[in-house]
Formats: sequence, C-alpha cells, structure tokens
Amino acid sequence: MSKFMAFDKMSPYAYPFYIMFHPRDGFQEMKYYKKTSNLITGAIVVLWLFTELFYRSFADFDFNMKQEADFLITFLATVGVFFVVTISNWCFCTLMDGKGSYKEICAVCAYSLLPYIFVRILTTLLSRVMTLDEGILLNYSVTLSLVWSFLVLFAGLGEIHEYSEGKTAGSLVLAVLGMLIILFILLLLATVFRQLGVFLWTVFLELTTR
Amino acid sequence: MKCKRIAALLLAVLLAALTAAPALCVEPNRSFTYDEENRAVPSPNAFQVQQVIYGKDMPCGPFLSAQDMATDGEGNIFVLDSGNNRIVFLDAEYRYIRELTEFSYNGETVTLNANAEGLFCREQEQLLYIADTAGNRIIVTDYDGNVTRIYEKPVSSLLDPELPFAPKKLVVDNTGMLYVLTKNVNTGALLINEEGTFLGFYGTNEVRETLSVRIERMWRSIMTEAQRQQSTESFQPVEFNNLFWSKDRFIYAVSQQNEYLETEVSKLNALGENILEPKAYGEMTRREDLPVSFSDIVVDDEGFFTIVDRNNGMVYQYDEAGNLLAVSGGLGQQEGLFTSPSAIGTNERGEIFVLDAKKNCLVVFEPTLYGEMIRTAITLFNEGLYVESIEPWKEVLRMNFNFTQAYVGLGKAEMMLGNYAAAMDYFQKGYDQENYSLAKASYRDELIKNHFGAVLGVIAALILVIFFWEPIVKLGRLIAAKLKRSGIAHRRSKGGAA
Repeated sequence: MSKFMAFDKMSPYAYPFYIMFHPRDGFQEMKYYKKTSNLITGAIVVLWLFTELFYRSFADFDFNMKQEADFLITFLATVGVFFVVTISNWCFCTLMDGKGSYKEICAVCAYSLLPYIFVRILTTLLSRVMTLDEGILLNYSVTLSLVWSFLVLFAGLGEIHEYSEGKTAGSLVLAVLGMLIILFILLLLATVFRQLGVFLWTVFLELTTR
Repeated sequence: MKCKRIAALLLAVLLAALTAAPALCVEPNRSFTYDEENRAVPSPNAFQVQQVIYGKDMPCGPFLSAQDMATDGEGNIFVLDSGNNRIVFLDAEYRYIRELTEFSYNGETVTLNANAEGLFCREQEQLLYIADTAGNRIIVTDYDGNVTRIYEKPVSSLLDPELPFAPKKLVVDNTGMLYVLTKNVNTGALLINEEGTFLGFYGTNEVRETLSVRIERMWRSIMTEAQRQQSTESFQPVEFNNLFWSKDRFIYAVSQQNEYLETEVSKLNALGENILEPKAYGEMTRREDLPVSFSDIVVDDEGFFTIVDRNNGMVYQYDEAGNLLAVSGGLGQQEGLFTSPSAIGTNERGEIFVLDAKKNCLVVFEPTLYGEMIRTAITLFNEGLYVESIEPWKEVLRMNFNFTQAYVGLGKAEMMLGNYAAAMDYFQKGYDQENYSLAKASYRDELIKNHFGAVLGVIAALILVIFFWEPIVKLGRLIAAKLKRSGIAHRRSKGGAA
C-alpha cells in the first residue's frame, strides 16, 4: 500500500522514470489512478523524433556515413510508426477484450520508448569520441536498450489490457499483422487518390485548354 | 577617335574568338569515376587519343580480325593479325617494321591456320609463342621466323582424349613454363613445362558459395543419377579470358561476369591463388543483357593494371591495390571508341594501345595532364612518400574534386605529419571510415596528452566531490544560513533606519 501511496504522490514528470525500472507496478498504478497524461506521451514521442534526428545528423562519420537527416522520413519513421502501432494494437485489443483505452495504449508505447531514447542519445554523444573498434560497445548497448524497451512495452500492454503473458504475445503478433494491413490500405489509398487526382487534372485541362 | 576604339575592341573580340575556336573541338568527355555508392560521376579525361593506326596505311595492308598483341622490353609491338595468318612487327613509335607470314621448321615451311588467338613474347630469349588455335598447337619462333619448337597436345590422363587441344591464350614464365588457356577446359590454365610435359592445372576461378548454390547442392544430394544428368544448372567455374605475365612475376587473369564468380580480375601467385582483393571490377551497375567480359589485361612497371571490356568497349585503369583511377573508351565508331577490343598493351611512356578486332586498328591513348598527375601522386603514395604526394594530390583535386582517392591520400599524408584533425576532415571527404576512426583515435590521444593536467584535475575534483559530498552539503547549508541571517539582519537594520 505504501508503494501505491508513493506513486499517488509522485510528480507526473517523475513516474516515467519510475516505470522504466518498475514497469508492472508502474503501469498498474497508472491505470488505477488514471494518471495517463497526453502531454507527457506527446512529449516523449517528440523527444523520440528529435533523438532520431540528432543521431542521424550528429553521430560521428565513422558510425554514420551520411550525417544528414531527412525530416520527413525521420518523422514517418518515428511519429508515423508510433501511430500505426498504437492504432493497430487498439484495433485488435478492443476485439480481444482488452481493457486499455487508446490513451493508455499510447502512454504505454511512449513510456516504453524511454530506455531506447536515453541510450540512443548517450551513444550518439559517445560516438564523437569513440573509434570503430570501441563502437561495438555502442551497438551492444543500443541492442540491450531495445530489449529493455520491449520488455517494458510487453509488461505495460499486458497490464493495461489485463492480459496474460501468452495473450499479450499473441496480441503483439496480431498488432504486427495489423500494421501490415494498415500500410497496405494506406498505399492503396495513395495510389487511388493519385489516379483520381490525375483524372481530375485531365478533366480540368480538357475544360480550360480546349 | 571613338570609332577607332570600337574598331579595336571588335578586332580584339574577333581575335579572341578565333584563338578560342580550336579549344572547342576537343573530344567529348566520356570519362567518369565511381563515388562511394558506385554511382558514375563525370571526371576529366585521364587519357586522350593520340593516334589511330590502321593496317591499310602500312605496306602490309589492312588487319583482319587481329586477336592478340605482345610487346617486348624495347617497346616493339607484335600484332597477331589472325585473319591474315601473320604477325606484324611495329616499333616503339608505332611504325611498321615488317611482317612474318611463313615460318621454317626443320627445313619445312609452316604457316599459321586462320584465327590463331594468342601471342606471347618472351623478351630475354627473343622468342614468340603463338597459340595456333585451329592448328591445335603452340608454335615457338624467333623474330626471323625460325621455329624452334612446336608444342602439341600433351599426353595426360587428366585431359579428355576426345577433346582437341585448342590453345587460346598463353603466357610463359621466366623458367620457360607455359600457362595455356584452352577451349573446352575450365579447370584452369594448362601447366606445361619446357619439354612439353603436362604438369597440372593452374589457378581456377573460385565459385562463390551463394545461397542458391547451397540449395542446389542440397537438391542434388537427394537426386537420382538420371535426374542429375538432366539438370542444366552447373556450378562450373568460369574459364579465364586472358592471362598476363607481370614484371613482378605474378599472373594476372581476367574472366567474364558470372553470378557464382567472386571477382573478374585476379592476381595469381605461384600456387595459383588470387592475392588481389576480390571485388567487382569494371562496370559497377551489372546487367544481365550486357555482362562484363574482360578481353585483356596489361600491367605496367608501377603495378597499375588496365583492363578492357569487350562488351561495352570501356578501358579501366586501376592502381596496384585495385582502386579505380580512370575510365575511357566506349562502344562506337568515333576515334577512341571500340566495337570489339581484343587486346591491350602499354609502354614506358604510359601510353595505352588497344587493338580492335572489328575496326581493324590500333588506338593509341596518351595520358592527359590529369592522368599524369594521378599517376605521380599514386606512385609516390604507394611508395610510402605520403608527404611528397601532397602537392600532386592537391593538383588532382583542383582538376577533379570528386576524386575520392585523392582525399584519402591527403588524409594519410596529414596523418604522417601529425595533423590529425585535418586528416579526419580529408578521410571524411574521401568516405574512408576506417582511416577516419584511426585518425580520430590519434586525435583523441593527442588531445588527452596535451590537456593531461586539466583532465586529471577534473577527475580529482570529481573524486573529491563524491568522497566529501556530505561535508560539502553541510558547509553549503551553513553558508546559506549565515547569509540568510546576515541578510535579515541587514534588512532589519535598514528598516530600523527608515
């Protein structure tokens, strides 16, 4: 109970860090106290975007040949992916009796990114002073941080949907499937609308230049 | 007065236009290099056509389907004019000396069969080795046409008795050993000693273990013998197209593109192993409909090798380590373009001459200022004279700032001089991550060494702070309290005065 009380009194800016180390307790309590904050979720996603931009433009030449970041591509690779993942997870989990709301899914996905974001920033800074041989350490730490992030995500999704481990794993697999479907539909829409646009443009040309 | 001035100006403009005119009719820029992502980037021409030599301008009459060419130490050129069954001698200045059509062997007259494919000149002994493909023999003759030996098919259980001996290309090493490429044999060059005894095969192209090869192997292991016979898939090594015996006693071999082949250019040691970096040479964007197929290779005294691709007519020059230096040629009818380049040669002046079997001519390229400068720089660089190579490299960059090799060269020179920051900058421009990392390590070490006191000081301060954290905090509180008290006292005294 004392732990719950501690969480209740914790500042909303502090518990993302608490959750990093205590994902199960943290997400459970977050759901219980309805402490999801859209502001913090948004801030973390924006931080992810900036971390990626920072890595792509600032990591040293021997780790990153290009040293330039395309904002649009980076935006799609972070914010875009975030929304596709959360939407696809929400779609399947509402069908699978998941108890989490979309807001909570977003919060879990965002909070679970924190280990990766911190390690990414750290490795980007360290890449300026480390050589290629020592760089293996950096690669390992990034991989480790990804594993950490995944564990937090796994625990968090299980907690907010009130799923067992097996069901969580199943929902994740379905979420990946859902992502592919969403991407397929998006591509389809894009092509159809392009065709429509071309058609309208031709009509316009016919009408104006005839 | 004004009229005169205008007239003078007009005259000057006219003169300038007249003198500028010859500069406009230089040959088109066809040259390029590859950037770090293997995209072709335009570059200045490293070679330009000096002259084109046709057989019809010489007393001997036009060439016909000339297949090979050999050079000797004095720069004399021997053209194997296969269609006319003869050898044409040219001197170092590409002037006609004579031709050799008939040979005498033990009093009998011997002539070449049509379309002999290979010619090799053994400089010291002044002997010419002719691979008489249709005649199934190798003819050894001196410069006057006196045949000293004829090699027929060697007797060996390793050679299929049904198949005729059809030598294509050959080289002879310093001990008189023959390395013969024959048609129908893909297990390497035939190694024949001076007495004509077959000793074995030399140097095969290695087959790359790709995924498809492994899958096919797996299938084959469960196939029946009959199925195996029917299977069309083969993992036979690709045969070599040509060989070259270099001054440093290595054999260079070229072959054609194949998906199972690791590299098309190899430098074989005495054991027949490739010691050159196995990578893609020639055209980088590989196409199935126009496969890369090198017809000849030549290596000069500095170790630069030049290869010619018979399918796209391109001539590529590489340095000893296999870095691309220059590209020229192409397919076409203009001077300097080829339709079927069959052989390539070089001389002491750095000129490159290419024999075209369909256009029946010998095209001579001479290096441009740009080409000379690259050569100077690379030669100095490969000798380890990095600092001396700075000036030529800078000159190369002034003419072509896309030449990444120059940046790497300058980077290494700066490394030698100890300017690690500058070296890092150059390596970055040259897309060389490994050397950049090395330069960075040196730069970092130097930085730490120069600021050793400061680094130590910071570490000591950190340790002190960690160890004495509590006393420091206490002290801070004490001071804060004191300040606060004195502040209050001060304010109070001020208030009292008011």
